[in-house]
Amino acid sequence: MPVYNIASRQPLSYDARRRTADAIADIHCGLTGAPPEFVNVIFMHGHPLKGGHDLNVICNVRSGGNRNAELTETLRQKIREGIAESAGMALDKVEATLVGFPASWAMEGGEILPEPGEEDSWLARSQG
Amino acid sequence: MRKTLILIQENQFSDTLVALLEKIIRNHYRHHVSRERLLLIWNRIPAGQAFTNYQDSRSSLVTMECPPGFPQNQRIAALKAIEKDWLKISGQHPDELMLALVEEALFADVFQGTQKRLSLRGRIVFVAKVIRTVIHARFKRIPIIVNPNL
Repeated sequence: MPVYNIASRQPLSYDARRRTADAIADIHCGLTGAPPEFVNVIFMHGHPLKGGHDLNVICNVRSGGNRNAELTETLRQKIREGIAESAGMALDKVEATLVGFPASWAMEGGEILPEPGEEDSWLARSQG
Repeated sequence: MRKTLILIQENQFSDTLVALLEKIIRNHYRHHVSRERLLLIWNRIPAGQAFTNYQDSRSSLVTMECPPGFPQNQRIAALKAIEKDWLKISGQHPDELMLALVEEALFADVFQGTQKRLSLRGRIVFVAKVIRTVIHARFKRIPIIVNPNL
């Protein structure tokens, strides 16, 4: 986690997918301080989307810890902008939704995930 | 009936291996979580459509549904048991496996979220594809494996 699940009407080229995934990792890690090791970005195409959108992303992210409502909304907006730019789409054609997961409900790297903001000690422990 | 959504990468696991992994999940789920019927849906992501840590992904993501108020110590026991057997069979590194056991309300948000974003035509296409895949899998007695592209 996070898992960014992207559906688009038309397939993006591999280069565009790669660029978009990199942008998402940059934005997510830059804003939240989370490590990039577990940033997952998945693309699927051929999805007729509602609202006239060409691309929709659902982001499953850890909630709680140092993540308040303001940070969450900033993340959503920045992700939307980053995807629009890297995929070459108009901003109003891109929609983003964040779904918050309690960190303690998930395991990765053999450990229950840390609360947001407590990654350093978790990484040291899981790599130690 | 409870549900489990699984994302795996194309060319990573054979159908036989997927069937084995499904058996592991079913067994541990029954032992640690619930004896309710469990529906597993495997999404096999085509090559070049998933990325982890700035690279083409080799990760598997398993999201399982559980009853509300599920005890955390039982959650940890279930996740650890599944992780241990999954890694033994798949040969993956622990960093390549994410497991989550989430309460039904949040699971519904995740499960329905991918449908809610679709237009009416999109939902019909999506549901028709899933039903076709489920019928095929039931008939052949194989896991339900979906290509997420419509």
